[in-house]
Amino acid sequence: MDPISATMRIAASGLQAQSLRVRMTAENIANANSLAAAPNADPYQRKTIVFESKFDRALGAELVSIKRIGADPSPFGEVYNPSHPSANADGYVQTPNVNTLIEMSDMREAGRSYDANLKVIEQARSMAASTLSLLDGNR
Amino acid sequence: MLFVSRGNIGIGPALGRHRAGIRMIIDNVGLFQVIHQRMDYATVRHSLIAQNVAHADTPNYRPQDLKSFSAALNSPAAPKLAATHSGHIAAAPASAEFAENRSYEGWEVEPSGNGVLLEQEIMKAADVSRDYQLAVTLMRKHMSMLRASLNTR
Repeated sequence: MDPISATMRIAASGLQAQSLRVRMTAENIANANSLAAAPNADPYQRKTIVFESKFDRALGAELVSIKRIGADPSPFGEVYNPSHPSANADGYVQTPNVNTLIEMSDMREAGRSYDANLKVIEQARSMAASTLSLLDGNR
Repeated sequence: MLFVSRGNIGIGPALGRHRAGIRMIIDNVGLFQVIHQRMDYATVRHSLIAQNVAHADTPNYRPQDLKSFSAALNSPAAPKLAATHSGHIAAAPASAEFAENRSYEGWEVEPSGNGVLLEQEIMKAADVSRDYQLAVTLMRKHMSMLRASLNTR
């Protein structure tokens, strides 16, 4: 495979990984207030995503792939709300371990990396286009 | 530093009197080869930059880069098997190979062990893109020179 197509494939794998990361962030933010369904059940647990590099033999380059989607082991929060159906005997309800501030900054970072990958694809395209323009006979 | 190969262009002594004119064209062909290598180098380096950018958030990933163009050309070629029989087929490399700069390191390493700095990579990508445009423009210029000499009657 020629290097320009390889460039596109590599950048595309980066785009894919980053968009999955944004998806995970969206899931976390959407569930930031998903409390437990029953008095002793766990509330929503924050999801994390880990990337790894994977060597693609056909391409001769390292693509990005998802190593695992894990759960954040940090402790859940608690709020005092005895009237809630999921409140325990002491009147506390467990809240998800999602910090929307962290999620927002994570989303920003993913967006920035996504843009950088897009920029690389644009550049590779303009390089290919300028090569093809050599075929214009009149110039 | 120009690597001009004249080995595979058939010019016998009979054509000696056209020497000056032919020499010019051959020199142009050699220039084409260097420009071609330069474009190859730019695209291979660009794909490494793409790899670095794609791995901007991968833990323990260290960025990769090529040696400079002249250093990459000067480094010895990879060893090949000798073709000692007419049935032996030389394996053609998938794309041009240039030496990797193994001592390359990014400007800083994040706590996750990732050494990619997007700003640095984008700067390098802009350099490569400019180099490539230069090579294409030169190629076009020399094609138009050749065309001009062929069009004269």
